[in-house]
Amino acid sequence: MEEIFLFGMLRGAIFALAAFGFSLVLGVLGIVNFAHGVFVVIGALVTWSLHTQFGFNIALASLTAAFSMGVLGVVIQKAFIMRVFKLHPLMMLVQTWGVAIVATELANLIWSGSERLVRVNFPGPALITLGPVFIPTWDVIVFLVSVVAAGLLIALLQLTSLGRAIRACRDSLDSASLAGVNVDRVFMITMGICGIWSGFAGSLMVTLKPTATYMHFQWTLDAFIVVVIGGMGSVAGALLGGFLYGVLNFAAYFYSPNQAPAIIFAALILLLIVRPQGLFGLGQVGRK
Amino acid sequence: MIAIFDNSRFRMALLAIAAILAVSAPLYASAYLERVLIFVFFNIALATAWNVIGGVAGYPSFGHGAFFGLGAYTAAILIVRVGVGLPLAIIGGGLVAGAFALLFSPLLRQRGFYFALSTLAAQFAIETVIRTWSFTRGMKPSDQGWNLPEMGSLHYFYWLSLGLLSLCILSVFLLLRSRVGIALLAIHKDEVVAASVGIPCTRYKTIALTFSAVWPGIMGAAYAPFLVFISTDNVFGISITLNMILITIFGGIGTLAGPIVGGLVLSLIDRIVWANFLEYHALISGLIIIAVISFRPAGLVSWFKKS
Repeated sequence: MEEIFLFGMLRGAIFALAAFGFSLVLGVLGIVNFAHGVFVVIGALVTWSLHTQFGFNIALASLTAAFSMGVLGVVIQKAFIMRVFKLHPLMMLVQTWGVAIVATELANLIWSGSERLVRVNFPGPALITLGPVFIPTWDVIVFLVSVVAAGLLIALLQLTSLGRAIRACRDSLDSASLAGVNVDRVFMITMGICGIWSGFAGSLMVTLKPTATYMHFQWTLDAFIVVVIGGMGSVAGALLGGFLYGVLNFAAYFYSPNQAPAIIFAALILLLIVRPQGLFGLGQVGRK
Repeated sequence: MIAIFDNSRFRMALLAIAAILAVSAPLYASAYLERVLIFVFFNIALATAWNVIGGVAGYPSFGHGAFFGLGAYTAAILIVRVGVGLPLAIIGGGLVAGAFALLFSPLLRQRGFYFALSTLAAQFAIETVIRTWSFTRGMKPSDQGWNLPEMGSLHYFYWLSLGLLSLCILSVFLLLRSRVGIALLAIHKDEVVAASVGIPCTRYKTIALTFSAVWPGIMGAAYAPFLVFISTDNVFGISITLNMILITIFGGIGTLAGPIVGGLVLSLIDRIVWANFLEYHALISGLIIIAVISFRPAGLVSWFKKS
């Protein structure tokens, strides 16, 4: 029981990290980005390449991967999403799905679609005992790093003027642009932030679990579920949602590995019907 | 060009020629072309059915692959376990898919992204249960899926799929011209206004969802014996749902001709790409999707419409 809770929390931090960008994009741009998982898996694969092929140290490799995913996010926003932003949400879903296909196929040309894992060497003991439970030290380090990254994002949103502009756009696009916020620029930066934090989540995940391009849609769904649990557009909600989803996910796979996806999706449907604004959400955000 | 297409007599003649060509194709076409055409007919019928809920009513369902899979599994179980004939199996597939659509109807309270997500989740949940339940022959890798007996020649399945496709298009045509179709258009435009003038939105949305689920069920039931072997890998999956959506959008969403044009053109492109650039197949279809949505979101049909 304690194991499930602890390991669920450890994974939950990465789920939350991957979901922040999704939540922001849903809140600010009001779109569901089906190419979201692409940031996570390509971020992971770039980290793998930089670390194992080019010999970067792991911290530098992760940061480089994260920022290159930020650039990718800006490019996707500028080149594609901008064009169809005013159309029916369905168009955006299908378009970002197309972007996801093209990005993963291009990534397959580089990384050939097989699973990659980064092994990190670090000084100190390999396991930590917490009461009756043994936890790998590296998992704890990753957890702490994720929490720090979450804190950084919250600080960025709450304390800087850029964060204020993003929050203004999230609350009301029209009022924000009336007040002189350059909405197009905020959209671009939001996609960039989404790319950076999601790519970072991928670069952490690849040190724990083998990652390959075909997993991108699973990451999109995971991010979506986390956001639905936590409430749309709220970073703190996504953090809580990530922890909850981590525990639920781990418990479902532990007790019933065969039926786990069915249990998770059934829980999601129930949640959407009963509490569409999320468990502790700020209320339903979205243009339609 | 446009003027010719507006001429209704010319259009009827074109339609008649197309119908004669389609019905008589097995007499002169190669077996390969016949198989390709059968797949095209299935694709068009699925897209036409999806168009009712996704295009006309404006509720983009991402779970329609589940209805197709349910139809195929129902037919397989009825044929192998009970030993019924193909017509009964097809009716059974449609009924089961329709019953599941009624179960889905609480999801119609959501809109837009949320509806898309909950239907997607429902599809994954159903797929997982079928993949792992012993009644549907899941669990053991050696025992997964259903082998069906040979039920007819290639010609038989050609005419069967063509007949079902025609019935499907005809039924959608009639539905769109009926009271329900007009109500659905009103719901798409503005659901609050539609409700305020006395349209029972929930009832019509449920009808639309059930209707657009019954046809994939029927097509799935006819698809199972045509494919001879079915498993969750070839009758379920997100790609089946996405195919319906892509064909509809490619041709023109919310129009009757859209899925037909989209199905024909997209299948043609698909064949050419498969034959010439096998390695880059997925890449090229992704690029086509992006190009159509970014530059022609109203679909191919919009070329032939006067603005």
